[in-house]
Amino acid sequence: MNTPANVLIKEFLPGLEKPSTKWYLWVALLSVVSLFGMFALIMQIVKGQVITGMRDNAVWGIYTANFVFFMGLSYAGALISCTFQLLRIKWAKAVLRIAELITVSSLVVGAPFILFCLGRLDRIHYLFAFGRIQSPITWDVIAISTDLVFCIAFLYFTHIRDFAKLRDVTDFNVAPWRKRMYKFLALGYQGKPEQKKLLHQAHDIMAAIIIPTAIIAYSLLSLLFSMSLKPGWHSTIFSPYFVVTAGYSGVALLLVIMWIYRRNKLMEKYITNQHFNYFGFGLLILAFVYAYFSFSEYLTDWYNQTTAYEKLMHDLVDFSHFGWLSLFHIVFAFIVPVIVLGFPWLRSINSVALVSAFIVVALWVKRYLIVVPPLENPFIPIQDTRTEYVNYSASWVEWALTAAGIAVIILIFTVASKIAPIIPVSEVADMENEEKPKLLFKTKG
Amino acid sequence: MEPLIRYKLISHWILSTLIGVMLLSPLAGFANTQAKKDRVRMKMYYFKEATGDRKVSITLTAGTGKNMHGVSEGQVVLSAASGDSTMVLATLTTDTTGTVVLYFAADYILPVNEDGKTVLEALYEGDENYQDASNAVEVMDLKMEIIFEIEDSVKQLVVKASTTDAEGNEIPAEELSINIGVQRLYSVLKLEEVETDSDGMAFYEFPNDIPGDAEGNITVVARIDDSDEFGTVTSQASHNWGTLVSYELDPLPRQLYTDEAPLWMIISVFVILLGAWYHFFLSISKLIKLKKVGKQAEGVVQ
Repeated sequence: MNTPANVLIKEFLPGLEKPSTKWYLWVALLSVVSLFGMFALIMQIVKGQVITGMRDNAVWGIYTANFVFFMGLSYAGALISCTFQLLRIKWAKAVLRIAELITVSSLVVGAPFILFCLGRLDRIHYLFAFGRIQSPITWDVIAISTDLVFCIAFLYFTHIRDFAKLRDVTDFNVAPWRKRMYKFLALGYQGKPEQKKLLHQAHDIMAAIIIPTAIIAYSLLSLLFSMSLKPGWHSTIFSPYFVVTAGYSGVALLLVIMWIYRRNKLMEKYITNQHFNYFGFGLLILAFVYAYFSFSEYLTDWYNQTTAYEKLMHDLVDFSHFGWLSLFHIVFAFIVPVIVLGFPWLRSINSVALVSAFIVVALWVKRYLIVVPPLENPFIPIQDTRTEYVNYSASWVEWALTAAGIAVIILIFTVASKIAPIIPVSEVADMENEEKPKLLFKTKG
Repeated sequence: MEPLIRYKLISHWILSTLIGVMLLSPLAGFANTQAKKDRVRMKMYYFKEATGDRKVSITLTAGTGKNMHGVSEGQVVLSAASGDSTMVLATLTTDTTGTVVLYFAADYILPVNEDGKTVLEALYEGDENYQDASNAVEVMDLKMEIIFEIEDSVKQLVVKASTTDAEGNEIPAEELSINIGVQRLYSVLKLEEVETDSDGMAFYEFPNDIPGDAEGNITVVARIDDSDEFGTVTSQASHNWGTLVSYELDPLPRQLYTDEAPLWMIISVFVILLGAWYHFFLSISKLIKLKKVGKQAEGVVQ
């Protein structure tokens, strides 16, 4: 049958069929980077954390910055895709799968980073055996594992209709195992009205539960910091600040990935100028909200005239310490985005994508500035004054694992794009024709 | 020479001399400090513990006021004098505070003179910075026995103090001020100061309201502080004269810091997780229904 979805999916079939040599080379490169990260991790386990930059004092470094950063991206992706799903926002449907993939890939990569900080990974099961429910770390473990299951389920739900199309489509030259896989994953979906209704219901329920789960999980993550008595961490603003920062970085990364996929001519039809306009506008609003939160955070820290806070604020603006990183963060997380997104003559798809890339990097830097400087400025003076104990500096092991994390995320996108179209074809094709699904929340009259 | 010129010359000479003195005086001071040694004071104390162990504490200090400091690494020779002979007991080195302590086990016999006294002499010979210093203590070995008696339902604490002469005869220690107290967790709680009579006995009516342990046991401490004759002597004994106090802690309430979490927290976590996972399985159930509908449809087609 030549339904709009069938016509549309045929456009994507060549991209899903036998991968090219270039594709294999790209996967090989990403795998090598990932394996090098694995090698670094084995070295760390064998030789101990002494081969990282973490010491008694700065017990956290870029692993924790990565953890917070990737978790933020994940929650942002979940919030974007689930909110848009629940609000039935049609124009965004084409890019929601990208947001869902950001969620799952960041979660899969981000969560292990906190484990790399553990001195005794072999005792990780103690967390489950002897974990105290009062501890923010226990809350985090529960929240992240719950969120991971929910997000993977949600990603799968959004694929069911496309898997059914790929199962049914003719002249699709893929290996028989893939056909069997599509058949298994499609769950017998045939587009019957009852099936559509059930799928919508399942979809809506998951979306409705993921939104609070994501907000709670990321707020709990912020509590890991704000419930510690450390200068710069012990703050009531951290939970909403973390959630806003997550949303900001997530939208920025979504724009970057949209731009990358849009370089394929086929995608220009689906990832349109309108997407960049709307998400760019959202990014501008988030930039102001983020700046407001950052200003509030720094202002209260600045007015706290205890010795540790004074030194922390000094270090953050001192160009021999964190001054350059702070300046980079302020310029590229706020000033440049506001200028480029705020003035129409500076706005273009390329400039929005470029600014978004800078925002992503600047917000990673911000996470680094949240984690490391407070650890270097504790309330109780540092006893061991060896430079490497006072000042944190990431080692090659930490950078290797960071690179591996990024490589794995790209690998997930690369492989996922080969399994199903990056555009939710069935949703996009049917959005004009299909009967409007009922909203979960509605008022009479 | 005219008077005015002479006056000028004298003025210049006086001025030049003054400037010269001012300029050279620091050097002179430096030379003085090189030559002058600091005076050292030596404090020496003798203690007898409840266990019978004894110790001598010696402290060397130099300087005055804010500049007062302990003489560290000072070599002190401690000797015991008996009659005409002197026996070197030890050569001691002071710590960073200028203090050194030498312990004698309870069974170590210190030499005594014909009066039954032990004479301990300490000598610090000084060095390039400090003058020499010496001190001595002359003490008799004092025995204090604590006796718990009840007369007419009144708790009577008796402290018996005595010394021994050169022949080994016991001599009561008269008119001796003894502090009586009970051992608490970190220090001794003073109850009373009593004085021994001609028999070397001191009496104290023990109060009935001193908290003891779960069996009422308390440790009574009798102590003479820094006596010229005996030094500081402590004796102690335990008895069940205290009130019964059970120190077994009540089970701690559920708090954020206890092993068991507050109930509100457990209930909240349980409700949140139950709600979340209920919805997860609800959506999974929708998929199971979806699959069933699909199978039914396949059956109809076939």
